[in-house]
Amino acid sequence: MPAVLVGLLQGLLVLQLAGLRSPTATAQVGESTQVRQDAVLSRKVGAGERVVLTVSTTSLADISIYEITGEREEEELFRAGGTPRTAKVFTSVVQVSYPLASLSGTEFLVRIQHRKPGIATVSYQPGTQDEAMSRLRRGQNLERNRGTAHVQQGFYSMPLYQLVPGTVVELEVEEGHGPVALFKVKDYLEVREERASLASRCRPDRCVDVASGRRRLELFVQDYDDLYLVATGPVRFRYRVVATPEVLNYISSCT
Amino acid sequence: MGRLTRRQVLKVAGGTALALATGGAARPLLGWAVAQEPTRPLLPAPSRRVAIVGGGISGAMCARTLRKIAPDLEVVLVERNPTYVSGPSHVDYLVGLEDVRRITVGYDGLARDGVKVLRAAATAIRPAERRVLTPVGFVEYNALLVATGLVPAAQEIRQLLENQTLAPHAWTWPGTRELRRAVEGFRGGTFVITVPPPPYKCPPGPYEVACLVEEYWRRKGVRAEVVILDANDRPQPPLLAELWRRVLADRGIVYKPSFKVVELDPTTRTLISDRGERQRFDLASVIPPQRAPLFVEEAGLGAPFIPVDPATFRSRAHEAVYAVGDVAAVPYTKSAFTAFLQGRNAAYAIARALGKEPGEPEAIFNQCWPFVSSSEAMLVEVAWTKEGRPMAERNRTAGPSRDHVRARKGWEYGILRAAYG
Repeated sequence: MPAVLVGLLQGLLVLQLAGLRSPTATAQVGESTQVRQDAVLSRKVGAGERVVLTVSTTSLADISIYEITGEREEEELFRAGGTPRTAKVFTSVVQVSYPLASLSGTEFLVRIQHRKPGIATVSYQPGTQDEAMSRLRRGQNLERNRGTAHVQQGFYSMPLYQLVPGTVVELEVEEGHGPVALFKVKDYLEVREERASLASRCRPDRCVDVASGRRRLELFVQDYDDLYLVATGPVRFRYRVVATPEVLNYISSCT
Repeated sequence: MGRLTRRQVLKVAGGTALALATGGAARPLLGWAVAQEPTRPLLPAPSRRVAIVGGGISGAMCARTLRKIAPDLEVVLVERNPTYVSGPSHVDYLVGLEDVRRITVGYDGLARDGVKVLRAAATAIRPAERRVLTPVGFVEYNALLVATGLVPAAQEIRQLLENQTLAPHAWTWPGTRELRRAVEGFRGGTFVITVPPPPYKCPPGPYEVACLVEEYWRRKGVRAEVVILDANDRPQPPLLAELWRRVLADRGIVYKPSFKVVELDPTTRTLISDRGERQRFDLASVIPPQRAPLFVEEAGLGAPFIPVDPATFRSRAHEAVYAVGDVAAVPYTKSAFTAFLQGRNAAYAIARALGKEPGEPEAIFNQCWPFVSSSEAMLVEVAWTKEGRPMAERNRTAGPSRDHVRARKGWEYGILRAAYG
């Protein structure tokens, strides 16, 4: 499967925890479980599998996902709380859903770091890449990933990489006013570097802003440009990345 | 006097090699020529004419195939350059593994096959009028194949466009020559090559360059640190990721994944990522994102690539327009290997659309033999159904071998002969 397809099919990392010996112990996959303390969990994904992880918390957490590649230092860094370059990081989330797929079989580590005391519920949904592709071929949409973030204050950003034409990005404010934007790299850098304000770069097709009457938006991606989800707190918002059948015309372009 | 349009502002910088008078008046202004929409047809009105814009591998192969399967169709190739330098050999040439004469082909063979070769730059396409415009006139068509390849979009990386001499790359022929000079003259330090997010043409290319220059300098006794900044989270293509990691590690090449370069700082000779990370360099090769030429986008055919039916290569926007090779938005790898086959297959679809019954071509597949050194290459093979669906069961990879180098060169010389005669 091409990398973009693997990325496309990534979604929920399903972690089954057989038993957690200590707050930072690595545990093998078991049943769906609840985690009260910070933890690093592991899940093996077989060749061709697409295992969807959902982590929901009663408070707020940072969820990081790392695919073990044989780089021992990176793995140790991750287990120790650091962030290797290739780790996927979801900060300040109430919930995140992210599918993991592998061409040849691999192991993922998932780290849950509570920002506030709470209970994180980790569950998984097994599946395969073939099933996901078949769904698209039947003309159905396929959820790639989703999350709910709660930004209490300050600047927040998260990249959305590996987008292809035919992808839809949904954004909705649940609490607070926004704005929350989907920027291409040029606007993202200008806002991050404080050369422009978030509000000044907001356009109706790229921003939700309750004050302007836009609580929700659906962006239909027509190119391969990365997007950056940008917000300033306080705001709680939900995002969702969905592949439509149209992506089938494009996703192997990177094989 | 011809009509003046805002779009028709062209820079005329001496030596276009076109001796024919324009069909409208041209008026030089501050070194720029404001050209009018050409009013002169370069050829008589067509009855069954296929115009092909771009004489690279896919365009040439389409032209030659059309002459073979539908000899009564008129085939016109619009190409601005007198020769084509084989794309797959850019990396070979970079480190002196290939002689430019062996990898350069002309268009005489196509002309002998009955293809009308117009040496002119396509400046616009008018799909509604079925015309291709050039500075000296227009060509009307019954079917058009766009095979222009891609252009680097240096403007998408801050400060790269105005500082490209600091960071040449081998994804264009002039860039390849420039990078070769820089490689030959390098006296040591940190060399950084960047990999853009996909899709880009020749996925293994950047890693090949890294391996080849590392070997080149090591043999010359030049102390160089070779660094790859990769926007992707793993080496490309993904099927070779594991093999690439081992190869790069064995050679001491520093590999930094998830480092997407968004800026070049010429003052400090630093590359900066979207996360704000910095990497200093003494010599860099920044491969920018790639897209269709602007005149293709302005024709309403699509951007950054032309969406087409993966089986027929027919444009989803205009029924008389087809697109193949790197410029097409198709599920196939952006490689010379599939470009050659796409050109061939598009010929069948075009011939059928123009009333012929040419039979069915084989489905597209891809083979790549990425260099890991001057004497060894790996292998990756993938395939698709005729409708463009990936056939995972046909995926194949193999580690470094001298046999793969021989296979690579044999294939390349073979397709040059097949496409150009």
